[in-house]
Amino acid sequence: MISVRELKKSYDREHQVLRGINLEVKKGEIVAMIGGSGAGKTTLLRCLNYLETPESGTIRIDDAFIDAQKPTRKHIRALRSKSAMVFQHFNLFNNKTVLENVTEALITVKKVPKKSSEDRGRELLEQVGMLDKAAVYPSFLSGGQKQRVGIARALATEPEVILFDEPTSALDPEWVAEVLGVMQKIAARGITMLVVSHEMRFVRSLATRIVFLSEGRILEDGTPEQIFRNPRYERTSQFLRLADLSLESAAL
Amino acid sequence: MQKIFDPAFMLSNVPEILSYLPVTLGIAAISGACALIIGLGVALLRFYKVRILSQLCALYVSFIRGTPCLVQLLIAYYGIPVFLRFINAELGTSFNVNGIHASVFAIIALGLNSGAFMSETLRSAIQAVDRGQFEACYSLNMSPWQTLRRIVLPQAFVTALPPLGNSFISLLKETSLVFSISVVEMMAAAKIVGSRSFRFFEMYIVVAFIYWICCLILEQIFRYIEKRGLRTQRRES
Ligand SMILES: Nc1ncnc2c1ncn2[C@@H]1O[C@H](COP(=O)(O)OP(=O)(O)O)[C@@H](O)[C@H]1O
Ligand SMILES: [Mg+2]
Repeated sequence: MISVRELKKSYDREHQVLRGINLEVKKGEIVAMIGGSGAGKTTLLRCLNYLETPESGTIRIDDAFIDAQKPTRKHIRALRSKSAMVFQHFNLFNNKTVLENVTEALITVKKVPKKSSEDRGRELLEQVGMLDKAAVYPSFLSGGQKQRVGIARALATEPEVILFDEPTSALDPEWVAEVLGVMQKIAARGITMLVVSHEMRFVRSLATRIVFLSEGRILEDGTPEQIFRNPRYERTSQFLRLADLSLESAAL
Repeated sequence: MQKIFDPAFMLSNVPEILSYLPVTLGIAAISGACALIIGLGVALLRFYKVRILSQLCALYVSFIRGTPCLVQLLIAYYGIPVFLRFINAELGTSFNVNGIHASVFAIIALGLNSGAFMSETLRSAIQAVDRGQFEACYSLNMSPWQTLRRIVLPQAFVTALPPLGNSFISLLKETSLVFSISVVEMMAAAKIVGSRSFRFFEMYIVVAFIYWICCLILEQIFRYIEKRGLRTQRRES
């Protein structure tokens, strides 16, 4: 479903951020992407959405394909239509109500009539438990509520994959559970998810697969069981301990 | 015996002065609308750092900021006809240079003047919209134009409203300079009426009050629009 080959990206000449990423994701997989700060997780996610332009390599999502050496506007649009992004800092449209945030892309991009996009929007808000706030503007919401709207907005265009960049790390602890609850719900519906997260509850119980990124390379790739029980590299266990993700810290 | 100050004369001439208010307001409104369009265009060219054009815009803004409005008016008044005559001679066109009403030059000059200031306001207001909202738009496959029109500009305008209001108020007051290129508006009328009896001071007091009242009304209008724009924001108190 997703197939990334030899993806390379650098922001400046000396420092290569992604050094040849190869990644295959099957439909319905819930992939947790972990790794230290600066490992390139955000950059990889943003390249998949072409918010960041990689230098070389190829990306395929479903039937959309792009070669970073010759991207066209048409290819970028096709690729973007296959994925949706949930941002660490929500990035909701401040001048739009909660419902309008969800329907915006349906109306402007998919050209769905206003009435049916609103019906669809309400349905999605219901699913994330935000229907009662449909007419409210984002600045009146708590962090957890904002992120639930962010997820509803991402779901609206029915993407093949949803890319989450640390969806709970900007939240106060009390709001994390409700966002995880929503993520669990959509995971259960079989939507493919690629999630950068160090939230133990997500990584250990929701993810079907863990990818460990270090210095722009994928160092480990396997089921949570494999990664936690026998990581291939010492660096991985070190990181798991530091990130409070290891078995010992789970036992505490 | 001549009175030192003649309130009766002053009041009796208020209607005549007021009859020129529409001219003043008309010039202000049309050049204000032009200024807004110019300002937005320049702000976008500079925001997106469009090659060459954004440098030219920077030059334009710097020139307007660094020269007096009166000088700009005079340059437009004398310069545009020269330019048109040049075009006529070079390209064989036949613009009727003498047929252009002086108020057209006034509107061009004031529009360009105020547009430069508005472009600075709008540019920083667009920059103040956080990058994340642009990215959310792009990730949803919205085009750059949809992003601007539906998400970015509505927010930028709210941020820009107080300084834009100030620009409009300045513009209204600067229309008082256009009598110097022979446009008869309120200020020119005051001079003309004043010269009939050499009671300039009384007439200047009258126009001063009319400008003041107009500015107060404009201020209220902008305050109202701003309040409406801010309804999407939580009040931090
Ligand atoms: N817009 C940018 N410009 C320059 N360097 C960047 C930019 N974004 C990220 N980087 C650099 O790229 C590296 C990887 O960043 P990022 O992908 O955000 O890592 P992570 O999300 O894993 O913490 C870091 O060294 C960071 O400083
Ligand atoms: Mg990151």
